Amino acid sequence: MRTINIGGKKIICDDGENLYKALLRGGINFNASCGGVGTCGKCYVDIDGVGRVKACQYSVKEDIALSLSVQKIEALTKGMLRDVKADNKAACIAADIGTTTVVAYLIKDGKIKDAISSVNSQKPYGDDVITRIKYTIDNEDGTDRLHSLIKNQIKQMVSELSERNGALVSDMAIVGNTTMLHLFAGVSPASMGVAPYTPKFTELKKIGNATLLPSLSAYVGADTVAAILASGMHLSDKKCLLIDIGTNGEIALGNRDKIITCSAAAGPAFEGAQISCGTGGVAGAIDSVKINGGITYTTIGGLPPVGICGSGILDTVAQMLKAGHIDSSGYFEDEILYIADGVSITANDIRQVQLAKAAIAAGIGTLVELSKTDLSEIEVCYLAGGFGSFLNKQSACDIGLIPKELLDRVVPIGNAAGMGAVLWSVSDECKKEVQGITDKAEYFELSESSIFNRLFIENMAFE
Amino acid sequence: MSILSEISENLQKGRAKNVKELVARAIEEKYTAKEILEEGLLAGMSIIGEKFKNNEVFVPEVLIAARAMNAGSEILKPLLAEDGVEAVGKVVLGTVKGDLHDIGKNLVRMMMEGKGLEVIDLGVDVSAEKFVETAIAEKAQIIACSALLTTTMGEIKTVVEAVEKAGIRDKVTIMIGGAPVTQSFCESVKADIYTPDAATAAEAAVAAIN
Ligand code: B12
Repeated sequence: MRTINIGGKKIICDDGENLYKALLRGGINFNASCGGVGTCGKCYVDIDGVGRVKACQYSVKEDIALSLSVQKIEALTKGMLRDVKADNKAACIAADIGTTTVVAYLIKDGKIKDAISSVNSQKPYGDDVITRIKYTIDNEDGTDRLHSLIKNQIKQMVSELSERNGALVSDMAIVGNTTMLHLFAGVSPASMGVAPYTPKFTELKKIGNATLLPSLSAYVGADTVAAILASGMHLSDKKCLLIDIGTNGEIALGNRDKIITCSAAAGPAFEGAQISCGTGGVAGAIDSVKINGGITYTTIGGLPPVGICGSGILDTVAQMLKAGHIDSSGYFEDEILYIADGVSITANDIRQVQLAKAAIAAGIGTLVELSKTDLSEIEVCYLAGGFGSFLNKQSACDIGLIPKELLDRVVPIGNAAGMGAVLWSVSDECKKEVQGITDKAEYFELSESSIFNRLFIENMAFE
Repeated sequence: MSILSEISENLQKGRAKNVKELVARAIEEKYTAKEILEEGLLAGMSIIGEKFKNNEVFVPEVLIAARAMNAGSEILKPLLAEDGVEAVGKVVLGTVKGDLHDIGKNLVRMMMEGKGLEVIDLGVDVSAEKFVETAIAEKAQIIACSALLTTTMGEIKTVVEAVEKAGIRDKVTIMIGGAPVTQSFCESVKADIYTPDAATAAEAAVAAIN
């Protein structure tokens, strides 16, 4: 038996137990994208008398005291809400279960009255869906455990919302990626972890007073369906593009006639993971950068820089290209550029950005080719999700993440998934529209697509 | 510049057409197929590999260089066979079952071919049995598995076990890689070699055979 002391809080563990696992059990929330296999470098802790170690690579052989700087993640609760006729005036809840954050809205009289967000309580079990799925495969009670975590978290959020608004809520609409919905429903997501990535269910599902909106496939979930609903692209005559630039990179292209979707697994580079000094959108994160002779930057909250987040990374790469620090192939002769004290960008970081942006750009390109769309036909390019709301669209176009032709048509719509869930809750028409979207939307699998493969390689350069 | 270094230079720039012409000219000028291969094509690929390792070039540059190498080696193949020049060794390569990522695996193939190894590429979603069967049928010295998903890297262990069960564990070296794979994972599943990148993988493969 060993004791881990974290600033007064005590966790008891077995002799020789893995520190990362012990801390997880003790409720310590890491940003560990690799799920504790030693590769992502996000679980560093400072042990008194030992120094800085990766918790996942350390076994506890004596009583230790340590400190950690758990960073706070803020979720985006706002988004574009189109005008719909409110049929449902009763108090109800709409929730968006993201892999990273969970957002819940209290709706009354057809309007959002209050919103609340928190870090997904499953996060200690991995940053991305694959790592969570792996957890359910490796641990017999894995699905149950992740299920009860999210169920309790939602329950807590709902009771907090109803308490502080003195509202009695009845129904609840839930969106999220397909894995999150499986886990909320207590259904094993294991079959989505390996090819051919088959979900156990995609249709609309009722669990008690909760309704899970329908998904399209294992990697295009109800969150994307809801985002389409919020954007209104399914009602438009002209073609629209919708992109959620994130780990799974969901993309939809189409209009009232037809919508085609895909998931371009960009990875978490734009969330700061896999980038040497990367961090999420936390206080002190460098979020915008200019290179003009010297380097100037801003940080979130104006605090001293602690790292660099997605929008800052995007700016840095775009500015480095312009200033000639890197060439169009991504070659970075100097190998490292210091942006601020202790915050730098390395040649390897540039390569990670190239992979992530090439995946998104190739995903867009594949849908454009498949639907025989000319970029000039696309009326709006909606950006859903947190990163899409904070990025500098000029930088995004400069590095080729988004086609340059669309620069003037880029419209960030915030937490579109959450807004979609709200619309579904209040409007009968929207409920019908969701059905229409699932009928009309087609999922295209990028694995083994020769178009995607060609475009992925083509888009790796910065041309 | 000698014609062989010209071949190497053009290969590095990915100029497939030039490489083809230069190889044909070198044959006319009575260089042996082995010389052209080793001092022209493989020398060029080696430099690309080194640059890839150092982040000087990236995936697209490696792909076009490899295409240029293939253009040259197509012409050389019959001559090499005639001269009785054999490959450095044989590798059975594939992405493990349940996984469809193949770009990293393809780079491994190119780099290995760039070291003069013969690579039998089984593609993606390859079962453990298929790896073993092919290794036995082809008398390969190396089985190389790529896995890009945390959920499919466990499949590597299945391959190691299948190799043991087939009774060829002492005859083949098992190499593993892909983004989520690490040295400690390699040790835990009792595979033989892990490398973080394709260029190092090719070097390690040659070293393992010799
Ligand atoms: C391109 C890509 C795809 C393409 C695959 C195209 C193809 N033909 O391979 C597509 C879009 C189809 C795809 C699909 C999926 N992907 Co994907 N994909 C990527 C991406 C962006 C790049 C991978 C890559 O090609 N890297 C470049 C190569 C050169 O690097 P590499 O493979 O690591 O190989 C190098 C080394 O590892 C080594 N190596 C490789 N193999 C071997 C073998 C041996 C023996 C040795 C010694 C060395 C070695 O050498 C190589 C060169 O140096 C990564 C994210 C990222 N930024 O890395 C995600 C990623 C790998 N994908 C991921 C996932 C989850 C998926 C999906 C299952 C789900 C999804 N959508 O998110 C789907 C499948 C279903 C679908 N279509 O939606 C995850 C895996 C997460 C995890 N924890 O395991 C990643 C990390 C992104 C993420 N979401 O976080 N993906």
